[in-house]
Amino acid sequence: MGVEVAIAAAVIGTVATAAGHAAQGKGQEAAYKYNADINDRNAKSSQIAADQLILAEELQIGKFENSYNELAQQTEMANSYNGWIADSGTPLKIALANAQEADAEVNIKRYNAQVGKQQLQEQGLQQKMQGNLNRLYGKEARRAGNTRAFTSLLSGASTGARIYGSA
Amino acid sequence: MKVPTYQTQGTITAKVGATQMSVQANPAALTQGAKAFTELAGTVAKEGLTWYEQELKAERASKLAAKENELTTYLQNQQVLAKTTAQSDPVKALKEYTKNTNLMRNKLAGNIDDSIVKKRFLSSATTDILNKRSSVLQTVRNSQIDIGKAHIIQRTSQLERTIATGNSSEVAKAKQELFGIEITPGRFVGGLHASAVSAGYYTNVEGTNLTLRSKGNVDRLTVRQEITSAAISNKPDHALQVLQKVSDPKNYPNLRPEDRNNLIKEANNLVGMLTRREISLEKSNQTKAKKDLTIKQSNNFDDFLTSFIESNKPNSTVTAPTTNSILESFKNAGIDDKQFGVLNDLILGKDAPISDATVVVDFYERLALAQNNDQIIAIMKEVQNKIGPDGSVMLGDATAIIKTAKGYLAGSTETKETQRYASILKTAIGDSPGGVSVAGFKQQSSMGLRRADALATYYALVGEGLTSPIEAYKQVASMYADNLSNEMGFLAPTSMLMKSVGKADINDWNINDITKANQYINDNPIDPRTNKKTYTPLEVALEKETIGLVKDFLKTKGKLDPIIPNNDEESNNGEVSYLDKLLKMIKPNEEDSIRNPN
Repeated sequence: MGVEVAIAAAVIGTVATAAGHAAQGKGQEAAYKYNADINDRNAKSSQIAADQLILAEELQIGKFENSYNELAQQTEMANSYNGWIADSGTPLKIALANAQEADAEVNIKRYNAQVGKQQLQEQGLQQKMQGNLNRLYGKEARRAGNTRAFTSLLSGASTGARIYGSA
Repeated sequence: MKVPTYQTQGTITAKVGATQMSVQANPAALTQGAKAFTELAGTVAKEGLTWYEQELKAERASKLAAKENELTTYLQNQQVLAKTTAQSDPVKALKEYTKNTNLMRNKLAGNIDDSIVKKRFLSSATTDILNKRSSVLQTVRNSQIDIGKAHIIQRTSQLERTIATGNSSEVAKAKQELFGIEITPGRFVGGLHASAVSAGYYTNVEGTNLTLRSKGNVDRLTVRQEITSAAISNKPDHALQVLQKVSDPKNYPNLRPEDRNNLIKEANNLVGMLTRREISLEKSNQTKAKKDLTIKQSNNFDDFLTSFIESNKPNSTVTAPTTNSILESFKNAGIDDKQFGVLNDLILGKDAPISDATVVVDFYERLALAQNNDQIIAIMKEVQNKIGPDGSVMLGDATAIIKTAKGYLAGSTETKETQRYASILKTAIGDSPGGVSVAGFKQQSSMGLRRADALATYYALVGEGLTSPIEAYKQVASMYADNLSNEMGFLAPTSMLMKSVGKADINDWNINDITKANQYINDNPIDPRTNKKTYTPLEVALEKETIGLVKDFLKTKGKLDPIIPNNDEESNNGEVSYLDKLLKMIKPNEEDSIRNPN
């Protein structure tokens, strides 16, 4: 009588252990999947931020070009008011210098925008990779759970057999 | 007017609209419940297995112990059995142990369902059987050694005896077998004990001691043989030589001191015994010579008596002994002085007046009870002393007693028959076989007297030699029965006498019947059945005696009137027996002539 009850307890315990290990693997897989989704989301966000940065800088450059054109017209008018001939001499030099400064400004802006975009893209890529990694983790966690479950069953059977053989 | 110049005012912002999410799920935290459940289940499984292990162990231990106990009991029995068998057949003991225990092991294992228990039982059983087998092997080995030792001891004893008592070739062979071959003086190779040591029966020390003991035994047996020879020779000198020889330590060097002492004592005792025997033998020879002389004299005396009786019979051709013949025999020690006196008295006509029945019966009784020939010879001597004018036994009765005595001496069938029927008669008449205690014929009033009369009559009839013991017994027993019916103190007359009178009851007799009876006895007619006289002389005397007793009996009853005249002087003074009275009444006949030949 005692032996039968003991056998039942051992079998139920072993099966439950195996089920627990399987459930644990499944749960861990779900967690890793969730984390991967977050990473995907962050990657998309970085891409949007990069696109947004370029768009904003192009808008700033357009705005700067408008301001510079207004400045160039005012300079020409001032030279003319003073009677200076704008196409030669100093006025010309001033106009060239201003134009050079304006071009440099646009170039700087574009360069900075490109750098920011690249940074954001790199960040998104990293998130993408992390997401992939988490999905991999999830799969492995599930596989590990299943393996542990099988190991538990095997261990239970093995222990039972060992006990039967050695008790 | 100053001309305005443009300085760059705008700055590049680092901020973007989208933000990075830092939320991360913790897989371990998310699976804590499952983990806890797993741990619980693992614990349950572990405890269940532990429990299972304990229960299984207990159950198997119980089953195993039960079978092991059963086997242990069986093994113990088999061990005892093997020990018993090993005493007679060690090999069989071991074979049977192995066979039986293996069968039992397999039988017990066959009853076990659990394979593990079965395996363990087979393992432990095999070990137990092997362990016990070691013990059985030891027992078997011990038994083999014991049996081997017994054979060696037995053979040693045989060889020792052969060496001590055998002929030269037997001795040489036995010595070689027992002690081995002497390769150099004092150094032997082989031998029974050396072989036993090689076989492991004895250690070297034991083997050496046994060899020394055997040598000692050989010397002891040799001396004992010599003592036996001396004893057989019956010569004290021979025994003395053996004593001197064994007393010298130079002789029999291997003899153990205690054995030498014992043998010296034995030889010494033998010397004493043979010396005493020699003296005793000399005495014995002297006694025998004396005894032979006594027997010879007794025989001669009997011959003289017989010749004397025979010569006095009518028409006898036998020559009666003369004074000269008995004197010659006396001179040659053929008879002694007493016998000479008796014979001389008889020749001169001097016999005892009458036999005393008590004395006669006493002689017969003593002869019947005599333990040896010496006692019988002594009785015969006594009988001789009772013969003669002053004696209490008449010559005829004395001759009959002596004849009976000789029969006892020779152990004859006749005397044995006499003894046997006397014993039966005594039982029949109510007497004890040990003897008769009565006063004698002269006091005729008691039951004892009737018995004495019956026995005296029996011995007289048998002693005469004419009646067989069985016939005498029948006759006397019948008469005794009649006697009882008549309340008489004596034996009734014979049936033929009663017939001649014509009255069966003595109480009816009168004086005429007495006369008629006396007449019949005196006539002693021829018996048509045997064509001989009805009564022998002795029977005539006995019947006359009885008629006298009948007469006295009737007289006491007042049935005899008038009283028959009796002129016998001896009878009148009451000094003689009724037999004498009777004899006086009748005329002399053959019996009288025997008693009083002159």
